[in-house]
Amino acid sequence: MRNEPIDMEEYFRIDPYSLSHSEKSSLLVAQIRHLFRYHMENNSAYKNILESSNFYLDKADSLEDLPFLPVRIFKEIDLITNPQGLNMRSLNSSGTTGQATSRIHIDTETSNLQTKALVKIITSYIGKKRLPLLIIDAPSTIKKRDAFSARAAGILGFSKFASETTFALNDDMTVNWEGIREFASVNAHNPVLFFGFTSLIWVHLIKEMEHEGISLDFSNATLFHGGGWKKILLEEQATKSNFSREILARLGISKVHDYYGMAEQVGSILVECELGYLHTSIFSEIIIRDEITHQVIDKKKLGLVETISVLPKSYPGHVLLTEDLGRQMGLDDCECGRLGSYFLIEGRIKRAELRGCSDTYQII
Amino acid sequence: MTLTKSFEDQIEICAPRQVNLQDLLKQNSYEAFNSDVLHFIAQLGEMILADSESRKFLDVIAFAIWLRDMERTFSNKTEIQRKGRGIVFHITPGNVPINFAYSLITGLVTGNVNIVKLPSRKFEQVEFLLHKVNELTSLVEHAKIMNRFVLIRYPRLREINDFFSMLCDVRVIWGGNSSIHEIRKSPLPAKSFDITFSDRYSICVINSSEYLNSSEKVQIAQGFYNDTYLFDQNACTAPHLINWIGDEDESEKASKLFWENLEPLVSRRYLIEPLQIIDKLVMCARFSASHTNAKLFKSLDQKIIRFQLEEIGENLENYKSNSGLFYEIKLGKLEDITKYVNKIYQTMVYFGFSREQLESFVRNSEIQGIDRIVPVGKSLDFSFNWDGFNLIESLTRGVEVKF
Repeated sequence: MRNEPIDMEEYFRIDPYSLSHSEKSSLLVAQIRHLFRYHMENNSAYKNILESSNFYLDKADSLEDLPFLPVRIFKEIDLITNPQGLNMRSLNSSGTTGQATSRIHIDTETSNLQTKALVKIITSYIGKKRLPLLIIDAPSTIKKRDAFSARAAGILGFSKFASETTFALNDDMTVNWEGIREFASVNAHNPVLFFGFTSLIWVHLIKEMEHEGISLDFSNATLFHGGGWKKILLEEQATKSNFSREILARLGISKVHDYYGMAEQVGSILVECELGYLHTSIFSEIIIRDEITHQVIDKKKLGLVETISVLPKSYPGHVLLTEDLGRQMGLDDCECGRLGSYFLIEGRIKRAELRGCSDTYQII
Repeated sequence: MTLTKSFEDQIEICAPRQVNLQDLLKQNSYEAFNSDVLHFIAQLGEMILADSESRKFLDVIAFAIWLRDMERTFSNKTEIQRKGRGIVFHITPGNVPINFAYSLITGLVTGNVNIVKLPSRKFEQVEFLLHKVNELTSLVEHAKIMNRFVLIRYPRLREINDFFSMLCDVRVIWGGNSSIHEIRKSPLPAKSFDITFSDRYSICVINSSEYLNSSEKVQIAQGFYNDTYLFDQNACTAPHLINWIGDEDESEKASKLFWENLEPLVSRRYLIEPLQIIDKLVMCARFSASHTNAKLFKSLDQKIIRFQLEEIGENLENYKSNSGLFYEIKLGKLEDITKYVNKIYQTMVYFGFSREQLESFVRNSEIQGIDRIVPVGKSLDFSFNWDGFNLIESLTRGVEVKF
């Protein structure tokens, strides 16, 4: 029996971690199949891609059967589902230095869906009351109107939970000591919210606090951080455990939640629970596939991460194969009490050195 | 023109160890196929083959056999009328291990003095060959040859490129295109010129009925494997598009049998990294997004991914990937390929066509590309004719004597 898709208004009334994996799956299949139909009808390039692989929606009964796009395709071509010809905002991924960035086209509807999903997910951790927010980033990040970045999207998303907002960094990426001290004097020991990109927090705040010998005490704060570990792992050799240790030592924050998200699927993030596992919500699912055959693999085995999101309507980003590695750790049985599947993400796959005479990959 | 000490210190002389750069630059050119040079080359070939370590490298063995047999082929062909042009500066590609050695030998047999920039990556094969060259040039009998070439490494520095460029009579630049553009920023003396090997696109043509009748399908698969997977389908000579020529039903059957024969071989022998597969899938999505009626097929391990096309639009070469991504099309006759072949096309690997058919095809068609037509399995074989250049002629000057 196939479920019918439900209205998104109704969808948002469901608690994001309240459905068992099987309940969620049947709901998700209906929503995602509906999205497939919508994108195929309104995006001829996407339809061409699916038809070249002989894909028939009617034959796909489970999430595993649905075809994915390699996430890097958004760096190569513009894929837009825009039947009404509405104005779109283009969201650019942060992109590792020297590499192409993704161009994701977002309309008001998709943007609203992303925001609502993020609100549902984050409020399930911090409650519905708005809190003072310290953003570990520079104010200029959200001022560039032409190129809307994933960082800006994150900041604007988290600003929805803010009763007041302070930026911890200046536009030249130095620490806004004055701002932080004022924030501390008003809010120390009160419940507050911290948000930032992992590498920025590490490089521009923690390292600087260490350098200046400064420690603050936000014992009632909750920190959400996301974005690539790659840079800081390479340059600073920060590990997850010493990141958390330093956050506690320098900021006094013990409630630290890493999250897994990407510019190509804003909103439907996976947040790390109190036990250190990344949980899918009703808005997302993750499938772990064999690195070579791309067949689904067993629980706890390391493989490629495929991400599914019910949110993308203005671009076909609902089912994506990433270049990240991860493993599924369980279903419905995490001791934190959240239902659904939960995961660990463990880095990215490596760039291969090719032989041959093209100099695309030439070593300098 | 001099090079300041700080740049000179960045040049690493890899072979011959005892070379004297000042002496080298003063050497005169020889005539093509000089007997001392041929003797040196033959000995180098023998020496490589005598070392059991060479057996680890298929490409090194093929190179050594080519060297060993060259004296026999060319010893009576000394061309008194053709003299080396002088100094040849070779910039060899960073990711084909022994391409530099073919370039060097071509420069030597044409009587030139050679400065060869090696790939910076230290391939095992390259280190092995350097060792052999050093061993041989240390012998007194080759003292004359020792000062006729130098194999060097240096970081990407414009100043060093400038220096060698202003010294040379011919600059040989092995691609890709971005390296060529980079090197060309360094000016040449007025009389000097470049021979460039730019990025190219290669194809395969198979006569479907001949293929169906062939009892050598396994050998054909083996040959095709060497043409493509041996260098990650990333050598300029590696086919990306396979043309099935003949009756449609026969082509359908031939194609099916061809991939069935190739698949177990590729599964067993080709090692692929996860990102190479994703690279192919990204290209597949890029291609199919703007093309209808292209059907995608994948082997279970995704080492073979192929598109069956119904027609070939413009610039198929822009959708070239590597590591086993193919396009295939059924065509009625060989001449049909002229409709899409452009100047970028280099090698046409073939099976099932006679010499007469191929020669008459070249003679009678207005084909705009394709410089080499070689049997399946032979695409990597080096020849003094490359990319449409006759290298023996290009690297020598012909002296005209009139009576």
